[in-house]
Amino acid sequence: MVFEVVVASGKGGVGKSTIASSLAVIMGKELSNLVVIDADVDAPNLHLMLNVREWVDELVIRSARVAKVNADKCVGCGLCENACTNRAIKLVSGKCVINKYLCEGCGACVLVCPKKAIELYEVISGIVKVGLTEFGFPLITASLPPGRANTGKIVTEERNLARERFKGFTIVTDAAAGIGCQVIASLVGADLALLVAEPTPTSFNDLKRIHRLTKHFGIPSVLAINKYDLDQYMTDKILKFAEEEGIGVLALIPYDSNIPLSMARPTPFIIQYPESKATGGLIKLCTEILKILRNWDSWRREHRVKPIPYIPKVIKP
Amino acid sequence: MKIAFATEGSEGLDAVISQRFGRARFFTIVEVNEVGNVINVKVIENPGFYAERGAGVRAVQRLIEEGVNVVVAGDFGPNALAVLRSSGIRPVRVSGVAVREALTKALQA
Repeated sequence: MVFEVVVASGKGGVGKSTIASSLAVIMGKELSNLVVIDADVDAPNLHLMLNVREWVDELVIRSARVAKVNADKCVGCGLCENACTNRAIKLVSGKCVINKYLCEGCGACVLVCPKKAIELYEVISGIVKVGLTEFGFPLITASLPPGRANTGKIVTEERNLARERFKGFTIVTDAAAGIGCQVIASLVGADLALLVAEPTPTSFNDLKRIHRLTKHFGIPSVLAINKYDLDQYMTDKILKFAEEEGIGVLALIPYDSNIPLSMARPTPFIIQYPESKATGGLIKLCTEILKILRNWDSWRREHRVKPIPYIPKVIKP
Repeated sequence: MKIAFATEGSEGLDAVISQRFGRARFFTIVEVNEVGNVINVKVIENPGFYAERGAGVRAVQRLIEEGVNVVVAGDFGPNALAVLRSSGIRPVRVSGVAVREALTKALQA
């Protein structure tokens, strides 16, 4: 049965990847069909934390397009420079030059050029890679060519690849920070959102934002509060919010100074420190997730999210 | 009335509706008359499939060009939804079934 849990937080640095990697290791022992997706392609680190032994496949994504000026045909009229909303075009020594890092491929310059001197050509957006981790399960990640950013497109390709190549597998997806395009692409169609927060006002604020997003998609959310003992007041505020919103709190993980230490080595925290302060909380979190997975149909029915109703407002011209 | 279905395949009425709107591969546009009979079926590429960012918005733009009245997909991202609201195209959530079966549900909406 395909089941996807997406680890998201809104705020960065709260412990998504630490939790996702430890979650993956524990789930990998219980399930024979696990695949992990690193959807934080701007700064991927799961391939390090999960110690990828070998890369078994790659998929080149060539969907982005960038404009280029044919200098022979260019007469330096500068109409393209005016048309460009990204300020990617400049007149240099009588010819128009396009900065390929700023160009978004909208094609406005192609349309306005009187000499038809500009063409769009495909560039590599990124390369989605499949690797085998030392724990026996595969990891899907991506690498970007310099200058290109992680995009919803790349995350979508990663998730599609997981479903096509690993049919029926359980998926753990580590989303990027924030609530932008790539996080939206990580959440669409996911079954469960594991939200991670830390007891700070910024994390609480971002938690509310990411929860609004999961509500939008009708995805049930559960919560883990990391480093909870750093500020009991904030933790209580977050717990109250979770109760009001019907978000199940799966674990409260205490601050553990061994976690930053563990990052020095490419091994998940619970492997390096099987008996540290935070270990118990992490194991509890994983146990709860596995419980939900094993009772998915009934759990899902009990925790149905009423998506925000679509009420179209029609503006007649 | 024109109803657009977000689909991953181009088989027309037999294509399965996509879970995603903005990054679906194709839009299968079905034109029906007042009685609900199918007059025309057209499959177009979704520009959002190729977009790095702003896929949903580009998809809606294309549908506006086609004069679509209703769009059907599994899920709509928040940005796409906002544009759909101002454009007057009615979003309907259905997924996992073929266009043929969803047509009835879309007509009721």
